Amino acid sequence: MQGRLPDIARLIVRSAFHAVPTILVILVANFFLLRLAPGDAADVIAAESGFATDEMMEGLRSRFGLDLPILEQLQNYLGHILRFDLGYSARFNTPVIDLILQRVPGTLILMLSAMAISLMIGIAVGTFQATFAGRWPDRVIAVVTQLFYSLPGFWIGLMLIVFFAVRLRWLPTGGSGPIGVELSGLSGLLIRLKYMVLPATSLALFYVAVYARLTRASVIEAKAQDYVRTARAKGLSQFKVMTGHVLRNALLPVTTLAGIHLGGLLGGAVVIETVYAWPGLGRLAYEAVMARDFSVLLGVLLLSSIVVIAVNLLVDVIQAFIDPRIELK
Amino acid sequence: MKNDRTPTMIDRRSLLKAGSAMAVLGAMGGTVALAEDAAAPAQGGTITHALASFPTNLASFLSTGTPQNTVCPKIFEGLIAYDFDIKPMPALAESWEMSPDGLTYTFKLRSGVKWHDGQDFSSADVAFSIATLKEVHPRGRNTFSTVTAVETPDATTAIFKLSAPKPFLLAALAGSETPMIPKHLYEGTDLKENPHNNNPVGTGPFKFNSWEVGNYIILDKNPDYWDKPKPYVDRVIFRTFTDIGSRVVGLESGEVDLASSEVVPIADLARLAAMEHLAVNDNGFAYVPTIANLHFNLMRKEFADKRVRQAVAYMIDREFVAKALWYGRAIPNYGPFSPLSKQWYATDLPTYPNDQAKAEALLDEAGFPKDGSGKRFSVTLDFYPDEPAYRTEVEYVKQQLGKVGIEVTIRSQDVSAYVKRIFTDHDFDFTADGYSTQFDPAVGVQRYYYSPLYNKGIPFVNPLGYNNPEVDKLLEDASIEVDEKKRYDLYYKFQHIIADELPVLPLVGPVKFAVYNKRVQDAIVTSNGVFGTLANAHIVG
Repeated sequence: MQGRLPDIARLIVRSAFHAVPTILVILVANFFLLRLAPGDAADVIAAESGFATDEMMEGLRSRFGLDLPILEQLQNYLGHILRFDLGYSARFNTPVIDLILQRVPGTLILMLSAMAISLMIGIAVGTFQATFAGRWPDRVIAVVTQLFYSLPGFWIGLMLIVFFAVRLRWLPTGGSGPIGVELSGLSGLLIRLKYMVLPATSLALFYVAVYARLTRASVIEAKAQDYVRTARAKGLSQFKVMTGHVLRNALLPVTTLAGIHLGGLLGGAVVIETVYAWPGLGRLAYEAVMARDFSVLLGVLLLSSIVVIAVNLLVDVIQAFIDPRIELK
Repeated sequence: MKNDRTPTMIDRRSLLKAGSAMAVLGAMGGTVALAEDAAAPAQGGTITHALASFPTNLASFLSTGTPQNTVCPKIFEGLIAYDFDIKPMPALAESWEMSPDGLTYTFKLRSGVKWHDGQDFSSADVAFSIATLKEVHPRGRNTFSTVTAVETPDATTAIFKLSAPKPFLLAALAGSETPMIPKHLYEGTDLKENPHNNNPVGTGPFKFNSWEVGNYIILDKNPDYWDKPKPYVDRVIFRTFTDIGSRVVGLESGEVDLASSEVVPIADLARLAAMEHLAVNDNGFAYVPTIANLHFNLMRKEFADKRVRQAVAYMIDREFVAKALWYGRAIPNYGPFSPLSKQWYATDLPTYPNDQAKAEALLDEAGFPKDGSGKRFSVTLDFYPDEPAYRTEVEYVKQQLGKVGIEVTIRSQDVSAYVKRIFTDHDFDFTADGYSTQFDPAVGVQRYYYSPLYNKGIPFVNPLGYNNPEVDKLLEDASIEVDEKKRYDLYYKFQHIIADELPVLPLVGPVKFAVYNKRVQDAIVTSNGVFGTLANAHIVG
């Protein structure tokens, strides 16, 4: 394993090098794509005021640089990016970088806990199903995961709120913590967890279904392989065969898919974040689209593309560890 | 102050005439309020107020969105407050007087008022605030356009000098409309970039504490408030719920104490009102009423002829719209003003009672006969996307007009696209929209019908292409007429012309409301509803 570390270092450097043109293309494409949407930030701000004058509209447009020719706007934007300046948000009246940094922890916590929950439960359930493949426990669970897979996230979210927050009043309806209260220590952590249970669960359910189905299929496939029969023949215990031989091979497709999902979750949690009033990046991106607040949206997209590239890299490395046959190219 | 306090039955018209009488009355209003609150309500507690969207900034002198208007009046006060009958009551001004020619207003200010940073509030702040609003406030530009100077002979006297009368000036001084801002923090700075726009300092009952952008705003009790022992509660939290479903569950679970009709969908109202811990307040929204209409594009050949617009009117049952589509939370409306603005509303406008035969005849006359398949013409109907009731209105309109051979296609888009289509590009046939008639017709209504404002691409200003010189003249005259009777007559005539020519087909005047948790009392005591100060709000039980 140690012999691979230089390979990994080389891979990281090369990926970073490749990432630059990719990100540049993403930025420019996004910039023009967003301009296709009718209306601009000044229209939205005026709409929210319910009142406007022509001086006000002109003032807004010149303040946000919207009155400049489009290529000049692009040039300005790229120039700022090169100086690590993501610009200023028209709608939120805040520097974009502050806004994003404020939202990143919320999204990361939600995303990672949902990912952890769905991977743990998904793999466990999938393995269980594979063990009982074709028999009734497998079929019952298949129906349940099918349900998780097909129910829309917002509906699950609302139903969980109605049941646990409104009916039983065990958990808060939304937000990421009590407002205006400093939290510290174990009790603080417990309170934060209370706020996380419902959004993380709602977000995880869909992925639980995906990973369970995927794990089931690949475990069944792996179980039929010769090396598993060999391992059994050697007299290894059922558990050792499962963890050391079957799962280790069966998990490769799961890690690939989880990598893709992790990138998607960054912006894709928008529905859950909206339903639970969770202060995350997905909601920020959505609100930025509605407000035609392009500098915020471009900032979120830039960050997302960096994360997706980084996660892909991470998945490559993890897979190399799981399966030594995979070469780090 | 409870709303059952016997109102002194003097309306705005006679008040404005007798300027000095009003000063006395104003002072009296103050004592009445004090006497009533002598049985002091409990101190302490937190009120959580739900917002549908978050404010762009906390500078209500600069922009006028609903979120700003909800949050800022707790921090910034006006010279005057208005009770449920829109009768002026003292706020930062203790009394006021208007000269008979309407060109001089003298305000006597409260002494001993301090800004949240400890500096004294004085007439210099008033002069600075008015000058600032005249320059940058979307409506202040108009309201104060003829104010040439604000003289400050001493620290508690401010004298407005006008070059031409503004009959609605005294109606415009609420904290939500004309906030007083601190001169010592704003003078000589770039008003739009001043850091205090996000960290406001006012004189109001609540001080700014913190703000997590897009999420929540915390205000704390101002212990040095001039109207002691108010405010009663320690803290007000504004939370943003962009999802309609989550706002309602917040009220249900008791996490949210107060939410206005911008926040709560009317479809959920009956269910919420039936809950034991919740109540509905629909008093206190007369200061800035809105109306819901169909707005026609008169530049389209289909709607250029008023007979076509009248035919549409004969097909739309306004009683039905109010009762079924607005769940009874609206009053059928037949004119360009809100039925809530009783002081202006003409009660004898034509109502176009449902009459399909008449509608068909008018359409034939206008040169749109039925073709072989029974169709006359096809049009597209847009709707303003942020009001759920408009969505049901357009379905109803489509169905009704289909009966007389007008084929309607409904088109939806988001707010930004909508604003650009209607107000900048004028690329629409007709649309379900509405407008706020504001505290005065010259401010809220005129902008939709005054022809010089057409083609300017300003959101919420005349997208109709309506051009009637007589209407323009009436509006111009009314906007400077000081005599209330004459002013009423001008607006009466205006309403009749509009109700006949129908560039806008009025549907209903929605009755705004607030849903609140019963543990919070006296949250709404003025006619600007949730745009009030919350100074009187207190927690019971």
